[in-house]
Amino acid sequence: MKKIYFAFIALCFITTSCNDFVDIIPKGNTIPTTVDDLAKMLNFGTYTSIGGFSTLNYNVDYFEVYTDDFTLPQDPGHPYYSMNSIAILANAMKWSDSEDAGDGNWTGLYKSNYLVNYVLDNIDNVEQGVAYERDEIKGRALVHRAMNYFILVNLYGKQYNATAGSTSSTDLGVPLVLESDINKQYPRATVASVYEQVLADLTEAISLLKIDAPKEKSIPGLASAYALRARVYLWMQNYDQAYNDAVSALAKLSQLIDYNTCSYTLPSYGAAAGINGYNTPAALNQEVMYARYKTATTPCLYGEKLLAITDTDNDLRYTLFRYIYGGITLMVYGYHYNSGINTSEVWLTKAEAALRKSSPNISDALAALNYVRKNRIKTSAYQPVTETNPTALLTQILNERRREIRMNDLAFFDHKRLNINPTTARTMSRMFLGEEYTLPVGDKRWQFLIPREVMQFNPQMVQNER
Amino acid sequence: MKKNYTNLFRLYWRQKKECMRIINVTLFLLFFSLLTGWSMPAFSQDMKVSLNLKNASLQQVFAEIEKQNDVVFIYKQELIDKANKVSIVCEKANLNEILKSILAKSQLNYIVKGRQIVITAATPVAQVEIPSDIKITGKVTDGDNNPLPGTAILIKGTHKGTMADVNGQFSIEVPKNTILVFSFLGMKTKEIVCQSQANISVMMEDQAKEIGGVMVTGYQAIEKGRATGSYEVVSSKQASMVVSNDIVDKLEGIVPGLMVNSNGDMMIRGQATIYSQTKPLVVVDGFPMEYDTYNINPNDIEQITVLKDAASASIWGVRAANGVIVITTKKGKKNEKTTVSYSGNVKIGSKFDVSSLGYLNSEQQIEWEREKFANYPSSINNIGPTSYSYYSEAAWIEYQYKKGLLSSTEREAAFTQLGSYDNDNEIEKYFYRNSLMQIHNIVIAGGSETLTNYFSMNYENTLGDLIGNDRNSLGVQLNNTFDLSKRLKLSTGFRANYSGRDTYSGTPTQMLPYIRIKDGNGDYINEYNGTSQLQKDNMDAKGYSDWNYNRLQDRPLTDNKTTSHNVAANVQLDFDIIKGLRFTTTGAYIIDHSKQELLYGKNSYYVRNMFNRFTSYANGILTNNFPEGAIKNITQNNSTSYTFRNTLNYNFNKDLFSLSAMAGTEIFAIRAKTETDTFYGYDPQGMSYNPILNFYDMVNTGIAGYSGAKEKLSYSPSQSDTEDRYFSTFFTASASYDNRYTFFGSIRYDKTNLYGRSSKYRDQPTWSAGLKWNIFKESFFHASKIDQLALKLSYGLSGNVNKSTSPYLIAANARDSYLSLPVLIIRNPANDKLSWEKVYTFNAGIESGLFDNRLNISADYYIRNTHDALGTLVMDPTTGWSSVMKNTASLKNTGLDLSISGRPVWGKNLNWTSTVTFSYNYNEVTEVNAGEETVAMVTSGNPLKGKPVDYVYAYRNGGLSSDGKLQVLDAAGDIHLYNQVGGFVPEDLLIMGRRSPKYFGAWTNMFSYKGFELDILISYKLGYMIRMPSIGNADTDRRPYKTFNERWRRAGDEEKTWIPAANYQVTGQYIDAINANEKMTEKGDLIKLKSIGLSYDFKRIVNIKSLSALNLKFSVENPWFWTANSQGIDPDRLSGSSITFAGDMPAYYTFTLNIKF
Repeated sequence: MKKIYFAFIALCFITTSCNDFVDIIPKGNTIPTTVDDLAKMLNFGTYTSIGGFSTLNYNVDYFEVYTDDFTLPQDPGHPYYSMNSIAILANAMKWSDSEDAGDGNWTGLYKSNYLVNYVLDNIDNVEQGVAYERDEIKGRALVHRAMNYFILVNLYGKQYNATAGSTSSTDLGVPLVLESDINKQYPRATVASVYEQVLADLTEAISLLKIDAPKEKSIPGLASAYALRARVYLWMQNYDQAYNDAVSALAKLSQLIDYNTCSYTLPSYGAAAGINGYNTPAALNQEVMYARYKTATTPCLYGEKLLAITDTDNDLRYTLFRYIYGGITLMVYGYHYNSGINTSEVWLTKAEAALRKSSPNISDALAALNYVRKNRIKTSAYQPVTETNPTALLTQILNERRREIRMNDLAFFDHKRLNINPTTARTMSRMFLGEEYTLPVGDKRWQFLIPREVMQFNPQMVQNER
Repeated sequence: MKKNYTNLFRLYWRQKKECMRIINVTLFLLFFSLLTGWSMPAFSQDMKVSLNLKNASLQQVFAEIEKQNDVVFIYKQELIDKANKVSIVCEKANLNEILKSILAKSQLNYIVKGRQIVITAATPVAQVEIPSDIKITGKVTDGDNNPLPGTAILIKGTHKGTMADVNGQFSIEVPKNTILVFSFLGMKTKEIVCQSQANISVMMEDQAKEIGGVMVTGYQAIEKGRATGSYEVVSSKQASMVVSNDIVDKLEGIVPGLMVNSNGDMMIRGQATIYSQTKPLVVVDGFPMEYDTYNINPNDIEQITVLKDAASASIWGVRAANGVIVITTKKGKKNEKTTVSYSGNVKIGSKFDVSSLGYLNSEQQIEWEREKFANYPSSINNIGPTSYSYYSEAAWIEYQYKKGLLSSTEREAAFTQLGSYDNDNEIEKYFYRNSLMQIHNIVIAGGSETLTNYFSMNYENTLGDLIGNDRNSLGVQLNNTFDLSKRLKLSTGFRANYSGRDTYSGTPTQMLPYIRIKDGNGDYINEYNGTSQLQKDNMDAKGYSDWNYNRLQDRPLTDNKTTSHNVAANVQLDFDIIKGLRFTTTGAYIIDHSKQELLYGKNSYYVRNMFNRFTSYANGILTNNFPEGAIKNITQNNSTSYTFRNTLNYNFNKDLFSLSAMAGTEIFAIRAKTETDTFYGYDPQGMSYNPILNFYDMVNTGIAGYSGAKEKLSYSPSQSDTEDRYFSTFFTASASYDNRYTFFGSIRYDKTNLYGRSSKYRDQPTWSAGLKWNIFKESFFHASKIDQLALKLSYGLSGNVNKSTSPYLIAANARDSYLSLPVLIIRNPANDKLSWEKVYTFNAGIESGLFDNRLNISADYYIRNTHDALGTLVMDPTTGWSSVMKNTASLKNTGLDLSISGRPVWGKNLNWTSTVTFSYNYNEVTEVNAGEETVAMVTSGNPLKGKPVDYVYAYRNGGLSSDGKLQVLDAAGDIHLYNQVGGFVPEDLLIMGRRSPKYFGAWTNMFSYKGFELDILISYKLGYMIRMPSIGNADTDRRPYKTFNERWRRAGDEEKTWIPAANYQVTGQYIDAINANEKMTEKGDLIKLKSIGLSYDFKRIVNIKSLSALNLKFSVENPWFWTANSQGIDPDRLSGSSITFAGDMPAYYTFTLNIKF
């Protein structure tokens, strides 16, 4: 009897002394250990905002309002302002600095950087998964990072200038954070070195990516990588390379929607209720090359200057993408407006680069320009452009670009890019609440202030001049 | 306590022999044997006995006599054992004579008192004759004022004395300056000096209070005399003062150091963490309860022990940093006749006073709205055929005027008409009632030689003060013990609880004050709500379903029912291996399940509104995209936990030295699952639902709805499943010499899955050491007024678990709703510098009993140092994270827990017991590892060095500008507009104090007089700051708080008020600047009469033999309070970060009936 007791006691101790007991993997949560896990992290970051943690959102608040191609109702009592805070919008309308300590653009883009850096830090060490290929995931992360820094350097740094003797190699850009360590801080890198990094990331991505264009447009493929590099070269005034990359990108994906085939889902509500033949969200849209989600958008009015170069009768972009609200005609972005790269932008990059490269190719430029126009203008009114004077043609191409990228966050950057050349430079100006505001070429306000909360934390950080 | 004595008596007088072996009756017997002057009572003269015994022991003889006569023998076993065997044959012999003859042979004598026959040694002691000068009369009672019949009263140094009668009364004549010695079994001997004639009341102290009694840690019971830690024992009597089925209500104020905040959460000895758990661990019958609703029937609680310092709590390891509350439930008692007791409570609450919420009344509301119409015309311009936004009834009047539909006079008349009515009374009438709670509780308990049973059943029915809030619960508890053999003991416990709750989630008090609920004919009146009423009317004409809304009419159309089931079972097997060594294995399994079913009826506003929103209209044709029928949401929570524990206990006693040690292992696991889902187009009768066409579009991109704009359906069924596991090993040892010096030590190792896979984060050792010195036992200690004096010291480490973070990057699995891709969402960044929180506690305590223990004082001083406290650190967003959980701070809590308990009056009839608890807590952040302090850190409540962890900050009030804008001052006194505080530095803000009280406690009084008992509980909280109710965003809040009425309206007002003019585009900054203005921060000091109760013991007048208790009590809760704030509102009713006031706390009136057979 006694023996049985002791055996029982011994058993009790043995069964409870198992250390594996606490080695359980929590359900629903994952500590990423495989390529698949990292791929899923990027999948999330690319498009959605579940739980408010939208890592790859290019969350430029009310950014469209910053160019004078757009304007807002002039009556502060307009019902428009019951939906959109006049206090925040007025700031953008007047090109005055934000009073907020934080800046959603900085926070959002660096959050995105944390995610892609985490993937890049770990991609070479994690186990192979089953559904995703290691190089492909690495390539995707690099494209995302390149996009983040392209936006950042253009928001907070001066425009890159390729002219000999330019200050781009000393102008301050943004801190280059290239690893996911929350305990490290960095000073601002120069504009030139940020561009170098962006190009290096894209070049590496192009060597790694194998898929041309995934059907989910938020996932970068070779087309997106080339298209982004084309954009970067265009911003660096390297038209030869921009042309080559645009050609490479369009070889992978080139289709545009012919707006002549589009119609309203519910005609009496205008575009607000949706457009047949034009898919939303952007990640599933036929003419998107690289979709980046945007959380805050403001339907705006066409500014006077944009209106002046728009054929309001025949330009389908004007007649289709609008709805009437409280007696004003607002541009509609749809529910998921893309702040990434649309195929049309690459066509127009090709057109501009073909014209401006070291050996201009005017017929190529005209073909690209007309391809876009054909899909945008009422068939009954369409006439191909035949202009061969390079200066006049450039103006036509740039005007087409303004009309086309109006629904993309690129307009402000495009204006900033064109300002370095006196022939294409334009001062921004518009009326708001009875006063005229201007943003002259070369003004310091073209560079946004480094967010005050960043200045508080990082003593190495140098603020932009004012 | 009362029960113990009753038992003692029962054992004494009825159970005869067994008890005599157990209880040392030396004193008692001595008294009898020595007593002289006792006349032999007459009773036994008449008693006859017939015996036929051969060679029988005296025991057998006595047993036989007891069978035949109504007598009880009382004796000391040794005396009988030594006695000779007897043989006797007799028929109806005189008992007196028989006894004399039997006992004489064994040198024994006997004394008769009533029906008791006490056997004593026959050696006669010479009686000393002492002249008697004075007469002392009085009564002897125990600590609960129960008489102690049979108490021996002797003149010190002599054998002369007397004995207390059945009522505890005595009378004796003694010389002057005599010392009387009172003695009673199980009680401490007491000496009283008699100088003159007097009628005295003598209260005997339970010996258990000195050396008996135990502190229960949940793992073991430690004799109080050897407990080195700081702890507090709450008796069931103290806990029964407040009538509630929630134990938290009962502990507030009673335990020094334990604070209950306005959310009802307990906190022991201040906040030792920033973001981790601050609630203590609750342990029931040895097993931790991980649920907020403890499902314990308060009537089943035998004792609550609150463990406060490391020495008492650290045996619970990483979860013990906030203290431990150990609850033991009642068990049956061995050799006790089955008793049945019933207790019932009826608790009625006063009706809620809607006006106490302090909102603007109708007139003020209309005045404010008209001010808005005038200054902010777009609020009226927005009304009209193109807008779908909500507007109020008042705005509609203004709109009609603007459109020329009303003349100026008509408009004024309409506003006057609207403002003439205030719906406070109607809301009270239709939506509120007197709350009514009934609790019925039945306990059946008893035991035999080898087993004990305890069974209880508890039923509660509550009708809340908001009509529609009802609750029912039924609970059963079953505790059994079985002595399987001499060495093996089995205990089982089983607890089951069901509760069903109906909830009305409407908020009638959010109705604008001028809205009528019913008209003169009793018909419902439509309330403007949600969408523009103009649009609703237009759509009605187009054929949309009825879009009108009336809260009262809508109330029964939604059914919100939550049912929960809870079952807990535990088994314990104790095995005595050899003398002193005991092995115990225990297991517990707890299941908790709750299910909420929220059914929005087909005709409810919620469903009609959804249906209409998703209905589009084009060219005279309505397209319904939403299925017809009810909507049902289901939320299920399942939780299971189990514990398996094995311990070895060793006890060793030799001479004055004693040692006890325990070692064991334990596994604990808890798994919690939740599931939610929604059914559309639901048919409650057919249990079928209707799938939505275009469901993908509706959820993801939205589809065209009533306004033409796209409407999205938020549909997110969810599941979660989390499991936490712990594996622990522990060891404690306690060594004691002569009960004078005790040393205690404990160590515990916890392994947990919570911090990932590295042992660096997973293995968490905790330890403690303690020392106790019972000074009063020292030979050199001579202080006549001090009965007890002991010193305690302890030090130790415990930890705190934070489940929300990890040193590894943790990501949650999900699926992208647009692209259907599998995704991982980062929840937590990687941070290899993360470690668990460590709390080091030092405790020094003193326990003393003075003036014959009429005054007891215990005091504990503590220092709790927290290292590596986790904090949400505001970060440079360039890292990718604006804030991250990091080990940011060190905290220090020091304080004093004091309890003074005394009996100012302890007379024959009137008794008064009074206890004051006083707690002081000083809290400071001693170190912050978070870079430079910024304003954002202060306003987001991050720890600040040198400040309390729960500081209240404020902006310096700068008055109003001439146009009524709020101004704030910086540290230099310069004036800034409220929206220019962005450039402030931390010094520009004021730290006004702390949120939790610095001093708190309670004053408890109990009076008893001839069966009446009166108890009064007053609690207090002092030395803390509160933010007064927020005026909020008057622009969007339907009911602005009355402070808003003091706002600036016209030039010159800035002289009179600091409340700025209304702001029609309200920003967070504006609200913050007001809420955090120094004028909004006030002292929260609160003194509250928590309960006052009067009971009467009807057993005194009802003479039913089988009845052992009959008690009726009436009590009132919350009848009165005092507070320091200017508005006189109860700080306990303020909550939220943007402060809202819940109105006056209702008073409760309770009737309690206790019956026991």
